[in-house]
Amino acid sequence: MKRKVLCLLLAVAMLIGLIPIAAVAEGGTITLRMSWWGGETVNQRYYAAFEAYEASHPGIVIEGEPQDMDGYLERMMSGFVSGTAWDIITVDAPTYPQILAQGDFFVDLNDYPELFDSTTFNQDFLKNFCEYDGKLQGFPISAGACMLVVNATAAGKYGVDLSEEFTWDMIYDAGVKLNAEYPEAYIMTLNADELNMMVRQSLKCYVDQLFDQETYEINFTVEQLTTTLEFVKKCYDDGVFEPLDEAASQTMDGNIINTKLWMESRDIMQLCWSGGMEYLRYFIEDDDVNVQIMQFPIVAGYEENGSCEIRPDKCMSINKNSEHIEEAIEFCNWFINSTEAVDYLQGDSLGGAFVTTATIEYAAENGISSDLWSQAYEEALGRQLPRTNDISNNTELIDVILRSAGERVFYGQQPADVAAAVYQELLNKLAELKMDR
Amino acid sequence: MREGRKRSVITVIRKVSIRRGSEDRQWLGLVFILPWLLGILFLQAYPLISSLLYSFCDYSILASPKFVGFKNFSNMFTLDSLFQTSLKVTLKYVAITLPSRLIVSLLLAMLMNRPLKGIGFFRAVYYIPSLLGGSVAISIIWRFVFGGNGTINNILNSMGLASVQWLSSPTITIWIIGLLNIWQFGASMLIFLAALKNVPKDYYEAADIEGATGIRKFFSITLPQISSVILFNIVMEMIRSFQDFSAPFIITSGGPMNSTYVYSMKIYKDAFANFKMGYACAESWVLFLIIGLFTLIIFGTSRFWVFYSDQQ
Repeated sequence: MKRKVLCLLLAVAMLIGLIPIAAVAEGGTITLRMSWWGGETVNQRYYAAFEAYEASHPGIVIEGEPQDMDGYLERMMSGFVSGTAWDIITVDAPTYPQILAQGDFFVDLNDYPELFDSTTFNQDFLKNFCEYDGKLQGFPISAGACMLVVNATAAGKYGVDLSEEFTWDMIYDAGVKLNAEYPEAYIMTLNADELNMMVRQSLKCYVDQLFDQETYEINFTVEQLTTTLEFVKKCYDDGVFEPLDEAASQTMDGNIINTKLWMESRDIMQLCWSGGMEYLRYFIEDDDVNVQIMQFPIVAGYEENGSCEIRPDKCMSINKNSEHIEEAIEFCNWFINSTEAVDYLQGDSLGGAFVTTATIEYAAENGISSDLWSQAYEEALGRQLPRTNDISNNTELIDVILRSAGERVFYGQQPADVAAAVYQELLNKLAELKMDR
Repeated sequence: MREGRKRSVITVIRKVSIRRGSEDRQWLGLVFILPWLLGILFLQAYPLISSLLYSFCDYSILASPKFVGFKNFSNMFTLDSLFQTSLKVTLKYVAITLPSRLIVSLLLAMLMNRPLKGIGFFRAVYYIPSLLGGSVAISIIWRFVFGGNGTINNILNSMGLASVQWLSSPTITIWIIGLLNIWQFGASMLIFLAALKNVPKDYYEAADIEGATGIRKFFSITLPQISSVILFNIVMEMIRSFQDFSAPFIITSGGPMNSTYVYSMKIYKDAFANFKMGYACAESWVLFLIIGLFTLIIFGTSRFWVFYSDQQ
């Protein structure tokens, strides 16, 4: 008998173990789970912000769940599938179309004007990046731009002229001269991500959008891709860019910030989004170095088409299935619109320029905004590329197929062959995506 | 007469109680295997069958699956160049890691089989990489050790040698990731060690009397005697190598130039980054078939080189 009871107990215990553990609220306390990425400094600032909010809003607990950027989207989607998604979710702006193609997961903030003040944002910026099908799916935390970060001190030392905005041809000429005179230095270092960015932005100089949203056709020609890749090859052959294998093997977590050349001021410039600019400045070993922001290089002859991409560094959305939508919106409103939260949002937590009127003013008055971020955003506005359409943000097209083009050229394949092969792969994938649409 | 009836009643009662006891024991047995039964039903059989069904569907997890027949499979072989790339990379990876790991683990097992002082300590030490090897932390450490400005290159530089791009060369990187796999030789080493311990000493003594060399003894006694264990290790390690994911994913994310983009990474990316769960299921079944095919080939050839003790 005892054995039977024991067996039954064990079986019941095992079955209980299989049941997902549900979060239980303690004594009427509302718990909001929030996710983000960014590292320890960001985590500490966010936790401090939660404490401040909880102190002024008894009964609300913000439970932070910091994540790694790698695999973040996958974890978010798994959360939606299993019903365990966070209440407040940080979102990388370009991934909105990909997420929304799978379902309607986020609260439309337009439905809550009494709780969330969206009038404080630049309306074009807000709608461009966070409004889909007339629904406000989230809001930007900051505005970032992709620019050229230049070590002006090193440029002076190596005789690189910074008086004019750079075209890619000018970078080539200056780079050849620099490396011939100082073989230990290069004008630019790119890892695989940045090489992809260079190829992509160069193609964007020719066409507004890489792919047509309606027809799923490629807007640039195979000749334009060949020209771009020939330029890449020329830059590597003639010592303009640091060899990709050397640069790539020194990177950490996809960032180029810790390359030896940059740290030792032997690399003059890097392509960088706002979020990485302060890191670039920080990692230079010489503290007195002067770091400047310049326009993203353009293809000569296409100056009027723009070259700078602007987008939110991060966005924030609210889970439509959250049990506490209103409380989550109230917190978000405080987080982005109150001057109290500016103290926690500044620095690494922001990763770009402030975006709401109150925070912009407060930051300017108190001198707490990064000069690099503000400068990047203002300069980029002058040569802004149109917002990338959804299909041109498709990760399979951009981060897999197009990304391989520059790498293949560096590792010895002929630009024309690579361009033809990559173009065909893009056509195949677009045909597949069109069928699945 | 009455005595006879009484006896038959007792017999019936005994039979019934025996049957009841046996039924009770059956019930008890079922309870004991219930955890395993539930596990195999819900955690293995259900996913297995559902993944087969989804492989014929256009399915993104969040929307209902739509039956598309063999489209996923045909797209894989006709449109998806990355599928072919990842398959080639994986075959290369298996070809590098499987023999290397078996050889290393066999050689070390032979070393561990010697009557050395403190051999227990050495066995434990050599098993440690297997406890750590598959972890994310070790993969990250690998990245630091073999990075452009990592430990190995610093040592090379201090000796006046040039740095080697261990993790950014399309030809070298897969070997470095394979090295991490090979480094986790502990489990197969232990299995080999157990097998070596079971080889009768008389054979070696007889060979010594006949004047056989060490190499001759290895090929004529040791290898045939442990051949069944070699077969086991080959199959298990092959399956493991085909499914390896964490090291290539963490160390290089498939680069440079997709030279370490192993098949399991392709499945993961399609499922969770591109939300093509049906397609990923189809890829998983193709991997299953490939592993099955190789296993069949290995088993098919085993009758020529595996010897069992009960064989004539």
